Amino acid sequence: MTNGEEPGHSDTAIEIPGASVRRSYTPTTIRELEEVVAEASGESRGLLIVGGRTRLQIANPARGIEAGLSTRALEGVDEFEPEEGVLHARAGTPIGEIRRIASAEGWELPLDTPGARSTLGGTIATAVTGPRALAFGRVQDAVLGLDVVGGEGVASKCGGRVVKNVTGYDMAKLYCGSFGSLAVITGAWLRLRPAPAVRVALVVRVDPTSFEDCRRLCGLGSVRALVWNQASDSERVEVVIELAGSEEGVAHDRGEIANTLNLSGGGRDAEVADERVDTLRDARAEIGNDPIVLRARVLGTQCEELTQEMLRAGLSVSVDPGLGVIFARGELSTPDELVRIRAASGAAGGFTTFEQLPSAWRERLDVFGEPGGTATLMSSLKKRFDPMGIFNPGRFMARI
Amino acid sequence: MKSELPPSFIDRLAEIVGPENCLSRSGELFAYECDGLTIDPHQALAVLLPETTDQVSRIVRVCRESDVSFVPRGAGTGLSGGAHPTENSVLIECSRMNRIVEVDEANRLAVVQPGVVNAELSKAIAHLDLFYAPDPSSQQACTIGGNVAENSGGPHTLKYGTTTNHILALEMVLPDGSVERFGNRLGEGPGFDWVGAIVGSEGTLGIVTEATVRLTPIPEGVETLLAIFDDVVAACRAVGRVIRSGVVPAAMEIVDKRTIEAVEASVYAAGIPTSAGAVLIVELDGNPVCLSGEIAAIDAACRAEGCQTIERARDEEERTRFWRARKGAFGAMGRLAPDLYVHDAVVPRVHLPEILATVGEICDRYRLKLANVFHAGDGNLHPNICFDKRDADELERVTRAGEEILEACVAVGGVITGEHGVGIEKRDYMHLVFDDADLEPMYRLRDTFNPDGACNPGKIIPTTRFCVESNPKARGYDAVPL
Repeated sequence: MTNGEEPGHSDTAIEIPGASVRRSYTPTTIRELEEVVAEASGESRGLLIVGGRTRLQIANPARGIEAGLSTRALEGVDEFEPEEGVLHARAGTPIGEIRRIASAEGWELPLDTPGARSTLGGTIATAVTGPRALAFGRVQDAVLGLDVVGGEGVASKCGGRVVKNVTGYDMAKLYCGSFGSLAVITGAWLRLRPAPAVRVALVVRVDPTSFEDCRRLCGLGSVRALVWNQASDSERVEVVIELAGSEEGVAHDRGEIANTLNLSGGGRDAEVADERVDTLRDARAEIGNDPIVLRARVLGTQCEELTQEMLRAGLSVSVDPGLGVIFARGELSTPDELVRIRAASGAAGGFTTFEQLPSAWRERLDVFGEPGGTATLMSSLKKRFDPMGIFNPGRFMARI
Repeated sequence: MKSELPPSFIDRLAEIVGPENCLSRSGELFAYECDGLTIDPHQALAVLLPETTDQVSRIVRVCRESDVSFVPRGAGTGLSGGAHPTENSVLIECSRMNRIVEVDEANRLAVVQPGVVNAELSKAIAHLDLFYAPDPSSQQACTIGGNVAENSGGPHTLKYGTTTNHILALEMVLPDGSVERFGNRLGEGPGFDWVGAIVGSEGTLGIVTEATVRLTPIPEGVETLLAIFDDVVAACRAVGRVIRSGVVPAAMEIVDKRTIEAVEASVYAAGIPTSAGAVLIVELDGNPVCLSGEIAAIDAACRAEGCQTIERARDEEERTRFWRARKGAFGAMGRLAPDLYVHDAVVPRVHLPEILATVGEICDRYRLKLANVFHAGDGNLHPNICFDKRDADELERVTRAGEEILEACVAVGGVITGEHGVGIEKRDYMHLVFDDADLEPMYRLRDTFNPDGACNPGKIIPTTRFCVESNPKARGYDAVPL
């Protein structure tokens, strides 16, 4: 298996906030996975659910985790209907592999997950998006149906393989983005998009006053990613734009970009490799040497102001102006500064997730934020889905 | 049941909303016995017309004290009985909560009360070049609150998605009478996606009292095409070709021969030759510079399946005429028989040609008159069966044919409802799609909000719950303190 894992047991330690997990299960069938969960439930032993292990640090300190449970050996695209544009993949399948299989038939997987090792299960559990969310939407939008194993070790499915469905509660919405706190995701039906005829990536150098112009450009039909990169100590901004669609549409929008950013008057755009947005996206997910990495999402109209606040705090930013998403990284001297940034994002209609934090700050700061009035419902739902509290205990919002 | 209630019960409710907004005489209650599904009507103890969230909350609290169930209702256009009163229940009718509270043009969102009529919202914001995208066929009457409950779709779902893709935040009165807010103005938040779970929950998790909805820019260009086919199967195949071509139309709708005949004989006549076997309506929208290439792709897909005639709407008037063939269908079918059973099921789109043949065969076998109008691009079938419910034998045949149609759709990987909801109509067919283990998490979600089932009882999930056998090593669900 990849990552040095063997089906069955593994002894490679996994370091996560608050714990070092020394033992892992890597079941090769749903039945085996059900047994692992049922046994852990019977003995009230906490499990760390892992896929590609790319986002494990986005969590509050673990509580009572005794073993890892990897979905990595549940791998492969087991159904693909190129005529229909839907496929079913098992949770441990790397996202890159699903992209490759889809694109060989003229389809595109609308999941913009960072990192080559990321799996489908991890993508859905963390509902992670990238700059292309402008066109792709949320992870939930691509998920037609899910297979899960619940807190007592019973497998179930929800949704289906069709593109329109109101048969019962929309359970998949709850599992998406629940960070493995309700169930182990074992597979999914996904909706694909037709691959665009043309795809172009451009790099443009602009000055910081162009933020609102860039945000407006995100409304153009073929602009599907626009990333604003700025270091805290720099007045120089690099904007990377990805255009995709028909030849006419892309040419038209490229003209609009040139007009708006006044590229004829001294500015320039340069075509770069198609993968440029992938590189920027993946860089956001890297831990690197920065003690702090945060992701804020706010109303589009408030995005520029909050971006400025991050820069003033000494952080470097990578922003999706069209989405109101700000990734900021760097160093801060006290947790109070993060509390202030979170409050500012709240005032701007949004929220902040701390994707990387000094461990000493983790007890004070909830990585996800405060659940507000829904705290009671959160813990009630958790108790019903995971009665013994074995799935990722302590790690999700409100430390459930 | 009514007589067991303290006589003051109705008075207390009337006090909350005012006597003129508390209907409790049999004649007044008659109109609220059912929604668009006319079978199994029930009279509520009272129908209440609140105007504020606080009134809804107080009604719920009074009901709880008296052990009475409560059923939310919008415009009552639903087709699966989601708003049917049940035994010993009051109906909370939200049509007076019809204010557009706020429109945020810059962030393209609106805050509305649940009684706002779907089409009225789009009208109110048209001057901003924005619209509310979900467009169920009943949009002239149905309300946003009802759309949230049912996760309503419509012809333009193909490109724009269903209601769930357009709801950012909700305010809801929970079944214990408390008021809670879910979501935010971004449509993404930390924690569980409560909004995603509430949309489509058919009013069984609480009563939505305010919705923050996404607004969509009105597309710069729109092209509407009408392609005439010799038979409905060829039209379905053309849809498959379009999907494979990479073009994503805003809508792809098919109307079959019997429907065309009904439409052309009615006030909705769209000028379609009655010799046509089926018509496919394709709408494209977006940047005008892209549309001519897309039209060429649709044209090629249709002609490859034997289509001889494709018309392109030259103006708004002609576009309206094309759509009359689709939107006038249900009204026109009133000419064919006294009653119409509108089915709703979804199949993977590649199976559309064969499933239509199967549906035709089932209806022939049961000697039933069938007409098809459907969202072909989504694989969402609406077989419409014409009948007369006064004829008991025919009613029985309609029911049995309906069951067989659902079974046939599920057998090819489909589901039993794409947009009309489960309600009471399909509650007992849920087992065709989901086994007990699949249903168990749905019960647990329902119980999280609505543990004693007082809020819209008997809808969406089967009323008989089977215990899921969990691993003997795991402790049972019942042992968990809640």
